[in-house]
Order: sequence, then structure tokens, then C-alpha cells
Amino acid sequence: MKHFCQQASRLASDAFERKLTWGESVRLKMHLAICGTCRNHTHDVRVIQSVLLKMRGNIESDTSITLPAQDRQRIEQALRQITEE
Amino acid sequence: MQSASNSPETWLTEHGDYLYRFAMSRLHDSETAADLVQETLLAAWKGRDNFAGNSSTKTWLVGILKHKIIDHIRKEIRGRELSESLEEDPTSAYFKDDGTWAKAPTAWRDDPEALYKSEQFNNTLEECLAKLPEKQHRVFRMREIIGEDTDAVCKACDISATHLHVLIHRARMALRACLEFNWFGGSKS
Repeated sequence: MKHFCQQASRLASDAFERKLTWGESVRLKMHLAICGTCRNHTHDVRVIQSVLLKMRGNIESDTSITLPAQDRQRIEQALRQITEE
Repeated sequence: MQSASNSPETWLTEHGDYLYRFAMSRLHDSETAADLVQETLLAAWKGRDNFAGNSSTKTWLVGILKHKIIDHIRKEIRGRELSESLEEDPTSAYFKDDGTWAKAPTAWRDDPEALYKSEQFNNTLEECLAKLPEKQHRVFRMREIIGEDTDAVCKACDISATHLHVLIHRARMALRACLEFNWFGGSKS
């Protein structure tokens, strides 16, 4: 019988994207309970997800990042043009 | 009350930096981010009658910007005519014939917060993302870096939810393996 690792990696990935069915969730949990390598893999994937989440949130709240002055000027001009029409 | 906040110049003054940051956090490209801020404000001015006023101006503008970001990525995809076969599964390369791991993943001990703050790690992450096949790259960016919901990504890329999940799984496998090799494998020290 083939090992379940490849399918488990797919289910673990899908778990971030959708709600697993009851059966899928049970199969994944049972496999993770006996397979340390797949536990490592899902752990690593979770680390990547947390870093990406931080990237989204932190740049957004980093007030030192501002619209460059020359871009601001260019946008102001474009806006003036359109509002004067 | 409407008139005071209804000028695009005011929007730019009050929300320009935030919109720029928002676009930057999703696209990591200063030029494109600034262009999309401009497009957003122009579109907002044209559609100002549709602004119901029951959300804040900022929320309304961010909503428009999100569409602009998705449009931008979609155009990039369209321009390149990408195809990726669903039958040939590249993730099989990570497994032996008996279905066990060809190279067993190790559990990373690094704290995500520390990783996020490390410029070196961010560079490695970007390099690994850049190595993904183009379609995986775009889909993964939209879903996991821009944080768009599944429906929006599927519509933008004209793929089914299942296809999206297949591509994201492939991207995750490749990304994890690349990071393990280039970062956690010891090349950082």
C-alpha cells in the first residue's frame, strides 16, 4: 500500500484554503499522528503562512513607508485635470 | 458634510500614504503601487456618486484599490498565455514511488516574528517565490500575499476552486523545499 504522505501534504495545504470534509480531516489527523515527517512539513508550511500574514499586516501599518513626493505630485496633477473638466 | 471629504485632493492628502502602503504590502513594487494609487483616486472620482457613505472613505478607497491590484495581476497573466497541466503533478518529485518523502522535511525552529524581521530571510523568500512557475506564482501571490479570497482569485484567473487548490499546494511544496534548502539548511550561518 502506498503511503499517505503526498495526499496528506495536499490536505494540509487545502486546510488553509477551505473547510476539509469530516472524512478528510480525520484521515489527515490520523496520518499526522503516526508520521513525524508530515508533522514537520505541516509545521513548516504554518511557519511560512505566519510570515506571509505578518508581511501583509506589518507593511500596511508601517507609517515610515510613504507615497514618494514625485508620485504624489504627479497624482495631484492628474486629479486636478480630471476635477476641472 | 459630504462636500468636505468629496475632493480627490483631500483623499490623496488623507489616505494617499495608506493606499500606497497597502499596494506595496501586496505588490512589493513601488512604481506599480504609486500608479495604482493614482488609478484608484481617478476611478473613485468618476464613481463618486456610487459612494453610499455608509462605509468610511478609506474603506471605500481600499475596496477600489483591491480591484485595481487584482486587475493588474490578471493583465500580467493574460499577457503571457500561461498553461500548466493538471495531469502532470510536479509534487510527485518530492516523494518516492512508495509515497514516502524523497527528502524528509525537518521542523523549522525559527520564530516567524524573527523571520519576518530578517531582511535576509525576506530576500530568500522572494527568490524562492520568483522560482515558482509563473501561474503558481501569480495565484499564490494573489491568494496568500495579497490575501484575496478564493472566489476573487478564481474569477481573476478564470480557474475553478479545485484548480486553485492544486496550484497553491504545488506552490507551497516548492516554496517549503526551496526555503529549507536555501535558508533552514544552514546557508544562513
